[in-house]
This record gives sequence, C-alpha cells and structure tokens, in this order.
Amino acid sequence: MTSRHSVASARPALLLAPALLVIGVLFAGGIMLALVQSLGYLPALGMRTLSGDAFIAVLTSRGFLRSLGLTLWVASVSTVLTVLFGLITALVLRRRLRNSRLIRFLYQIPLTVPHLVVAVAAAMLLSQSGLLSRLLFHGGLIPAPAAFPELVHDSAGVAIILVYAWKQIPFVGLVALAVFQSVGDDYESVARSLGASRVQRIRHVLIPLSLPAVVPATIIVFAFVFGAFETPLVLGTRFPSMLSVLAYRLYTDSDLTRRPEAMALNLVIALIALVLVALYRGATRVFSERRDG
Amino acid sequence: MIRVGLEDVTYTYPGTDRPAVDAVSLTAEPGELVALLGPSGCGKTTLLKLIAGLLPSDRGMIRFGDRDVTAVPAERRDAVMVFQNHLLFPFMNVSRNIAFGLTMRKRPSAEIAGEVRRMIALMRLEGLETRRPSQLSGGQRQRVALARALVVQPQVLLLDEPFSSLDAHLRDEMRELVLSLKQSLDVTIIFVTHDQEEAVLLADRIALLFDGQVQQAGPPAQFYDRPATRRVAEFFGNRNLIAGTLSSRGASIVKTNYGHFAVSAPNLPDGPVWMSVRPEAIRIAPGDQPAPEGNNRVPATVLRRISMGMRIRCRVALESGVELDVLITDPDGTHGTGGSPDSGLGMPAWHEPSRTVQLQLPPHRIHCFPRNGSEGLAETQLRQ
Repeated sequence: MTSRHSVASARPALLLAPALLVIGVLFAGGIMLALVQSLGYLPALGMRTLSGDAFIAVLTSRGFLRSLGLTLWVASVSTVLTVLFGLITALVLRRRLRNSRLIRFLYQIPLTVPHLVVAVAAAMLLSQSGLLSRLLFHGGLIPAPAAFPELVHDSAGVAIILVYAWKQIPFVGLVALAVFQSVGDDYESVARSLGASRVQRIRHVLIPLSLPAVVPATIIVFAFVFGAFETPLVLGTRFPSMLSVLAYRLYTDSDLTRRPEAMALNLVIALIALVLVALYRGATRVFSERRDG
Repeated sequence: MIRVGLEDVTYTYPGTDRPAVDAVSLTAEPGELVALLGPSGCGKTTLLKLIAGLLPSDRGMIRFGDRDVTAVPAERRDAVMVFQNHLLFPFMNVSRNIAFGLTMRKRPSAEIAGEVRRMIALMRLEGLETRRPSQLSGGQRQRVALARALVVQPQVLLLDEPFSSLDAHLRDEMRELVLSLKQSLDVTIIFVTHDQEEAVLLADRIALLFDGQVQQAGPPAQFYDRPATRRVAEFFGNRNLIAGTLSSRGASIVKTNYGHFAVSAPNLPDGPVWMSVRPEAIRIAPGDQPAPEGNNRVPATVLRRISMGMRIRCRVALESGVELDVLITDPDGTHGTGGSPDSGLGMPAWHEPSRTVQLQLPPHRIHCFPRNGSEGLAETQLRQ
C-alpha cells in the first residue's frame, strides 16, 4: 500500500521531469551563467577574478540612469493610457461588445497583431516623413513635412507609448468586461434601485467591482512594457534607449570586455521584474482576501 | 404609505415572442403586503422589476399614489428592490453598504451616520459594522440588504424571494422581521415568492400569476375557499375537484355522474363547472350507519389514510373513480352521526382502506367555478 501510494504521488513529478529539466537548465542555468559573467568571470578572455565592478559601472553610468528613467516613463505612461482607455472602452462598449460579434472582433484585433508589425506600421505612419505628416502637408494643414511633431525616434518615446497602449487597451478592456458581464448587471440594478445615477453607478460600483481584476492586469501591462524589446528597437532613439535595448547593445558590443556589464544590466532588469511579480502576487492576494474574508 | 397601481402592464423580453408579463392590472393598497405568487418562469420577478423601473414596460401604466411613474427611471422612483441573492457590494463593509443609498443622495455625513446607526439597531446588526459581506452569515447578509433598502425610506419596498436561500429556521425569523417592519415602518411591500405557504403567512393579498397573467388576486383564504380556476385550486394543493354542469332552474343544482348536488347560489351562468370542497368540510360516516343528515350524499371507498396526530386524512374514491381527500377530525366517533361502530381496542376502524363510507358535501361549503368544456371529461364521462 505504502509503496504504491508513494509511486502514485511521485507520478506527476516524474511526468513533469523532462519539461522541468529543460526549463531548469535553460532558465536557472541562464541566470547562473549571467550572474557568473556579470561578476567578471570570463575565462575565454583570461578574466578569472570575481568583482562587483560591472554592477557599479552599470548602476553609476549616465546611460543606465537615463535608460532607466526613459523605461519607467514609457512603461508608466503607456500603462496609465492603457488602463484609462481600457476601462473607458469597456464601460462605453459593454452592451455592444456583448451583443455584437463584429464589434467584439474589431475590438480584439490589436491583440492579434505582432508587436513588430505594429512598430513598423507606426514608423511608417507617424514619422516626419510618414503617411500622416505627408497627408497633413498636402492638405495644407502644416507648412512642411518636418513641421510634423517628432513622434518616432524621439527622446520621450511617444511612438513606443502609443504602440503599447494600442496593443494592450483591449487586454485591460476585456479583463474589466469579464467582470461587468458576470456580476455587473446585478450590482448595477441594485445601485439604480438605491438611487445611484449613471455616473455614480460607474464610479461607486462598476469600477470598484472591476479593480480586483484590473489591478493585477495593470501590473502585467507595466511589467511587459518594462521588459519589452522589439518596439523600442524599431521606434526608439539611439540615446537614451530603453533598458532592454541598452542591454542588447552592450551584449552585441564588439568589445567583449563589456560582456559583464551587459549581464549585470540583465540581472538588474530581472530583479526589477521580480519585484513586479511580488507586487502582482500581493495585489491579487489583497483582493481575494477582501472578497473571501 | 402609498398605493401602487398597475394597469395593463405588459413586457416582452427582446428576442422572445411571448410576453413575460401580459396585461397585468393589480393594486397594492397603502401599507399593504402583497405577494406575487407563482411557479418559476411565471413572470413574477419580471413584474417586480417593472414596478422597480429596472425594466421599461412595453405597454400600460404604473402609478405610485397619483403619480404616473411609468416613464420615471428606477433611480428616481422611490421604490427599492431587494434581490434574491443579497448582492451586497463586496468591496464595502456593512456600514458603507447600508449608507449607500444616502451617500448617492449626497446627504450630510452626520445624518448618514445617524441613519445607519438606527438601521443597525433595528436590524440587530450591532458589532458587525466594519465586517465585509464575506464575513457575514446568510441571515446577516439578508438583514444588511434589507437595512440598505430601508435606510432611504422608500415608499414601496420590493422583495424578490428574499428568504429562499436561507434555511428553514432563519426563514421563519426573517418572515417575522418583515411582518414587524411592515407594522413599524408604514411601507407598501410587494414581494415575490414561489412558496404558497410563505405567501399565505405574510401577505394581506396574493396575486397568483401563471404565464405572465394574473389568474386570481385576493386575500389568502379566498385561494382555498374560492379558487377561480382549476390551476389555482391545484397550486394551493386543492385536489378535491368534481366536474359537473350547473343548472339554475329554481334551485342551483350541479349535475354529475354521481348524482345531482345542491349548491348555494354560485353567481355563475349555467354550464360546465368545477365543484371544489375543502377536505375538512366534507362530512364522513361509516357505510353501514344511517347516512348523515342533509342532501348531497354520496357513497365512497377508502383508498388509504395518513395519520396526522389527532386527525386522519383519508383518500377516498367515488363510484366512477374520482378521488377526494377527506379529513376525519374525530376518528373514533362517526363524525356527526353519533354512536361508535367499532368496539375493541386498536381494532380495525370503520375508515380503514377498502371500507365503504358515506360522504356528505354541505351545499354552502361547495365552491363552483367555470370549467373549460373539455376539462375533466376523462374522469367524469358526464351522463346527463
């Protein structure tokens, strides 16, 4: 009995072992390798002494601080826009999204288009030699194509922000919509019956109801933008660049002695991501405790 | 207190053909407790939502007092609805839930605090002010939901099966609470239930709905004594129905294939009718005894009996198969004829199964109501 029992309980572990092994080697191994290299251990280059120099160099460099600032800016602004318009579209369209397949399909389109495609499209549309600027010029609305505001390859990352917001608004919208559809109508009826106007129902009932789902979704959006790479590569400036692009440049630098700095930077990004995961877990726990007692 | 009047109110859900509420006219007098009773799917909750203003009626008029509220949105209607599932806001504690309606009306916070305290005391919720709904028992949640509705002092309180999710003893407690509230708060209450016992227990008047239409409306006793249709009678557990044909030449007589029954002026045109008699109104006597006095006598055979403590409920069959329930209130005696037929202790009584008994249906206890010509023919095979 006992042996059979222990075999039975060991089975899931055995079945998962191949997958766990691959993930373990690639992920934990990768992190370990990055840690070792970030501490300056690169025997191929004759670097065998361990030091924290690379971390100090990265954290104190002007490029890093500018990149961190830009990354936080882009992630924050695109997250705020995403949540704001995600909630607004979900609230405004909640009946239409339920009743019309066409509108639901159109609403979900941004989720299906790859980031790279959106980034290239944004470059063609929004740059100073892009479609929009030329249309405005030929329409006589701006004196020259160069008078079009600098949205692409600019230091504020406007195009990057717009791409992420466009991509992720339906994500937050659908998360909120799921709440409105499951319990929103009933609670809205209660609130109406108790005298709440339309605006009051949205502010005091629908938005608080959606927060347990929307807050974790917000952290996911922020974490994703914080670490994402291809959109800032296509739409960003050379300096400052977002952290992921900076890490990529350091990694592909022809000077191999800069490899420890690249790895140190990667570990810093990983650490920030870890903090965001902890925040996410904390937020979901707070809301589930509130609900369940 | 205010009168609630419905005239010809009709509502069809979008995408359906048949109206869920079909030309309902109904009045709840000021301070009355009216039950909307019916099986599930009969439209009673839809009707309640129409009164609350949560659904727009397609046709008809809804009045609160002299005011036509048909086009007034729910939030300005002065009728608050309490739902079957308490639906307390999960992100607010008890006090803030109760305060909700007053907060929406932007009352001063001192006034809100006072009103909430009053409600907490009235509903015996002391000590639970800062709890979240998830930390309350089912009965407490429903009391908070009632407090949240009553704090805005609505003129009309609408309850949608508010106790159906509670267990039996809590349900009794809540019913008593509603009855005491009704006396102390002077509010007109309309409540929905599928439980005829609950309706009889609580309501001043009952409106019974089938298929979106009011079948009968009146005080509870009427549904037992004077059901309007066979379905009404059966919904109230009345299985004592005999098909016949009313003829009122001189005295009122109902012809059946068990003979002719005298009935007291039924105020109906001649034609097919149902006769209904309450089990306790039928007089019963042993078959070998002199028949009970009076007319409307008919022999029957006992099918089975159930002891109900001091009384016995018998199922008897008339000669051609119609079955009736009869209540024997004096099992040892002979109910109205005097004498004791069976001597001996615990011996087979005169009302044991397969014995023949005699029934008498007192004319003034027979209620007649119209019968659809085709109804009941299988049982009766009317011979004129």
